[in-house]
Amino acid sequence: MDHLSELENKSIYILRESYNQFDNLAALWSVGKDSTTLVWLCMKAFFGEIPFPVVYIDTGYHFQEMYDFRDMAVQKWGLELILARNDRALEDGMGPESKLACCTALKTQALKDCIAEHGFDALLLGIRRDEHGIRAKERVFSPRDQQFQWDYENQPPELWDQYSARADEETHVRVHPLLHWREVDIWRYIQRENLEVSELYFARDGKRYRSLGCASCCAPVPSEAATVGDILAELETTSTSERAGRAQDKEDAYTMQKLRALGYM
Amino acid sequence: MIFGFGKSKRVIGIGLDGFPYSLAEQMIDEDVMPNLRRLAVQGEMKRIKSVFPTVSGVAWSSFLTGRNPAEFGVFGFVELTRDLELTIPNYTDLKCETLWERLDDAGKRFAALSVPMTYPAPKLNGFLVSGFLAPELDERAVSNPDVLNTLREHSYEIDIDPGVAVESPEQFKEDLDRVSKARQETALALLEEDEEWDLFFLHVMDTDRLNHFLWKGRRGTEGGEDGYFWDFYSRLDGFLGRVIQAVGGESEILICSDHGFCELKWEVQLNRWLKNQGYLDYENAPAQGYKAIKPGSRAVSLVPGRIHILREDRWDAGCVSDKEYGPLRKEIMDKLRGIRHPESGEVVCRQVMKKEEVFSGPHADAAPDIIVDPCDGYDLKARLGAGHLFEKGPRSGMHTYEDAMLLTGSGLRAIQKAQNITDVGRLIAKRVL
Repeated sequence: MDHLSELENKSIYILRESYNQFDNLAALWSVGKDSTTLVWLCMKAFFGEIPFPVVYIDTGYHFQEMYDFRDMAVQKWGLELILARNDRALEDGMGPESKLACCTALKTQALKDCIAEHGFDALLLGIRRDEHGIRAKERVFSPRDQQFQWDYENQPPELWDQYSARADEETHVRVHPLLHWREVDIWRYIQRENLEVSELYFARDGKRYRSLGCASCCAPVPSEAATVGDILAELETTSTSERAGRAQDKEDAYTMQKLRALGYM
Repeated sequence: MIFGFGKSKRVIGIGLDGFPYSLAEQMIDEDVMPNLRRLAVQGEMKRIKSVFPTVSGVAWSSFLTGRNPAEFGVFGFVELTRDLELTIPNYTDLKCETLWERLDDAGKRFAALSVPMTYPAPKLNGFLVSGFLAPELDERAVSNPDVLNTLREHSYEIDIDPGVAVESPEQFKEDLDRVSKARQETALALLEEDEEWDLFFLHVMDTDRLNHFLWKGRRGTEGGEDGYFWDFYSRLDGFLGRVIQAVGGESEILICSDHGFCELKWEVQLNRWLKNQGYLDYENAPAQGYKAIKPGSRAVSLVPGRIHILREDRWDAGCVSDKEYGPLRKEIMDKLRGIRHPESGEVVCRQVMKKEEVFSGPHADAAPDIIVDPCDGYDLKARLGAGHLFEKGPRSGMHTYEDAMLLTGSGLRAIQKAQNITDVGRLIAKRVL
């Protein structure tokens, strides 16, 4: 079996296992490439009809293209969509000026409220192990307590693909069917399945988005990649060590002056 | 309590940037730091090593990750991209999990104040404020807005402006006093709260600043009559006394430094040397930075003592082939060993090392090809366009790889076996987690 089919098989196994083990399941869908892949895998796992809702956390600040794509996909795939939205905070004028508080209110709180309202006992998430160092310790089934805290030392063991979906006193379990995928796998799979993703991923005027979120807090990266094929070529040549911010803006100028005063450059 | 179960595993750590073991001993002997003596007598104090390249950014990154630079991928305060653009790596460039992330993962209660290379501040469930090189105290330098409020209450500042040290030594001392005092008061307020910290770690940058600019102002040395240097450490000792009191004993206190210090006699401009030897050529255009390097150049240096060979496949402007690389590197290393100061005849380079002797890990490709550890007194610089190989600068103190210090309270014996600053971070993590 080829690599992508192996990844797909494992994810579908996890999806069916979750549906079997939980009474009230939902998938979290941000309309980004990973969670769109997740929704597509759900479509395949359940033969074209997903037997649980998909939750979209609407901060009210997303790109218009994201809302358009969402509505298109809901129609096309016949999804049962649930909006998680903190209307009270939005009415009170919460916005990206207060970055951290904004995320807490419009994302975390909105999701907490949504889980409480619908009584979900498990959520499917499209996170990947290669996203960040901290993810290395993630499990496929990851219990969360009422404060959304993750007690990584007290996780159920996962040996020989035997997933235990119950943990002590959790309010819900997070399930990560894409944990074993890498960014490049996702794009290869999108190419193979001819899966539609948001147009924001493709270059316009020499720039494209590598990940999607609120319009106010996302910056595009310089790129000429206009197709999935281009993106794959780009990913294969980009060295991961190129994240260092280029020394151009005012902040860096100040920092350089300081380094110079100390004789470090 | 049976066999130590349920025993507190907390650590109260203080990182004194660039505080040498030998200076600590002298301060104890001369009774300038009686509280440090008390801590050293009840616990243990030893000499440890720093890391290569010996700068705080790399040393504290090693502490934070418990790993070597080729694993976390940062080799200095500045790096060069393959098209010779200068970049300043920060916390997001660390490619290993850090102590803070591990503590947060484990749900531990921690405070981390002012540790270098913690900017932009990770948004974790701890009381965290970035250190050097956070440009200013704002939301990007703290783990959450509450932290910012607390810090502002105590008039906390990230760092002094080192540029002032040259223009006005009096202003420099005033700044240093103000910034250290606010840092100390903030730390004490946090320690006196009811919060049960699993790890409390305060980093003090002020000692490094003092040592850089006023090393010659120590008593018994030339120009050391004003006593500020000693008074500064005496006040720091007063703070240590208050920490012991706030924590309720010595046993869980740890003090460490990330590198040593010695008197700076000469700044050695390695890029000037590379130019003199015909390995490097550049246009006289400081505004262009490293972009001024002319094609055909074979090597370039970054502070401190990092030499990159400009290989074809690694640099856009590189011209050294795989075949030429080995012999060229050996030739440069041999010549470096021969550099002497023309008047004193002293040797400049104590150790000249290949990168594979010093680093191992997935990012070893990004490491400098040659690492130079200088003899005491010869600070390795890399200013493009420097007129002379040996120059005098405004600083009188320089970092050393040897002679950093570690002091552990009687309850922290497991951390005592650390041999260097990397071990200290790793063993703290092991105890707390």
